[in-house]
Amino acid sequence: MKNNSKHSKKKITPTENIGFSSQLTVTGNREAVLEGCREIKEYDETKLKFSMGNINICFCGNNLTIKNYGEDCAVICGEISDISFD
Amino acid sequence: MIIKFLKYIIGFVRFSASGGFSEMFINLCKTENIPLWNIKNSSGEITASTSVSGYKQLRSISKKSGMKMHILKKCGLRFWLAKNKVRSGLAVGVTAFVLILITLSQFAWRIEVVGNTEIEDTEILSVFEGYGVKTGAKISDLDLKNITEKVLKDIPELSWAKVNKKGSMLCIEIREKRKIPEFYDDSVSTNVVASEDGLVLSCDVLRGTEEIKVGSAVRKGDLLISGIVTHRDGSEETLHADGIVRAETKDNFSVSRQNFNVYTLKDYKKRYEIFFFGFVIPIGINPTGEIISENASYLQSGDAVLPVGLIKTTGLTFSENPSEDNEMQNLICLFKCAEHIYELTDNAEVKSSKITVNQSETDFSCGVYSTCEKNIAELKEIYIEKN
Repeated sequence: MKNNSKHSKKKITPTENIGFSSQLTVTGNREAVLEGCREIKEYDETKLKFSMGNINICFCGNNLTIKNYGEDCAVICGEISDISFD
Repeated sequence: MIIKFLKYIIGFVRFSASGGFSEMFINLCKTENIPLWNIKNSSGEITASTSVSGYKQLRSISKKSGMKMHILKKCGLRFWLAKNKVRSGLAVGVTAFVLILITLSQFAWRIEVVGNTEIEDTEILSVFEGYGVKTGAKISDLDLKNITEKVLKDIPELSWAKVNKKGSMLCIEIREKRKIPEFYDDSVSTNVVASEDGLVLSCDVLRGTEEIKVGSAVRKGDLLISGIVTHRDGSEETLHADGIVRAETKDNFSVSRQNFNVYTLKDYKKRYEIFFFGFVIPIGINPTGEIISENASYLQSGDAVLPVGLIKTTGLTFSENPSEDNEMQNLICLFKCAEHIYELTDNAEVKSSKITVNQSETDFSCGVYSTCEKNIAELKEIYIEKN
């Protein structure tokens, strides 16, 4: 019997699917802590986009660095000028 | 801070990766649970830090994402030890430094007295020194609780004392007893009389009957406040009179050079001693002389006085016969006048002072004429004849 690849993936709850389990804490414009992020979609010095399930969160600014990138949490540092969701 | 320290102990690698898909590289690291921190991306090249074991796993990920990796820096104790393992001298030096530091931290480097207002530091320190609490003493050998109890018995003016250890410093915290206010002893009846001549400026009667008017002149011994009180019914009572009577007084002081003899310095001997953590190492023999003085200077680091220093002992021997050094005698006269003015300010407010100098071929004298404002009240016991 052929193993279906869809079944081997982690089950995603409805709240996770629409990004409700995520949490964003911004300290000034220098640091942001993002919980519940799945993966990095785009990353360069001025733009950093994370996938949160069905929504993406995008940080724009200068000298953006990821201070810490754990299992479910990312600490973004740098000069954050804009945060947007798409 | 603790995490940084732990990372340094465990060791980590700072690396760069370029030429592929940086986002994919980071996401794969996350999937494989490889820790990454301080990730920077500048024009396609990422730099990041990871653990030593994590870096070994990164090779397969870099292949998948098409990145080429380079180690920028290896940080941590394990790398430092590996680099310096042949430098045995350094290891010996570090070990010796740590041992010396541990040994020296067991001794009292400095002793400080806090909380005293009336009792001098030196008096308290000398009593504690008698029980072994001194610079250079081994702190663990001191039974501070027992010593404090003994000191409290030795100095009755103290109400509370505690010796606190602050690293290698001992801080003696004390509280002095509050003085009991003096109560009038009516078994001894007194009058208040003038202690010297003057012009009365104010009179504050605390107890007794006022006998003078403000603005009147009084002579030494005149009655100012009477200790005999007459009641309305005509009866009389003696009590302990008291009060403050401020008056303008004149003070004359003169001195002649004939009063002083000057002896020339015949011999001067000195000896140095090294003070090191309570141990005194003499260099040379004890100096002899009529006047022996000691001067100690200690090493200082900021406000902290270190228990390392140099003690200088000097012995002075003077000529047996006085010399004819008139200039020096004149200077002493002037100095005595200045000293007298300074002493006057202890219990009087000096309004004005005039210094006069008389110099002739054979003599030199100088005088101070001062106008002062002071309390001239003096208690004098009333003696009552018993019939």
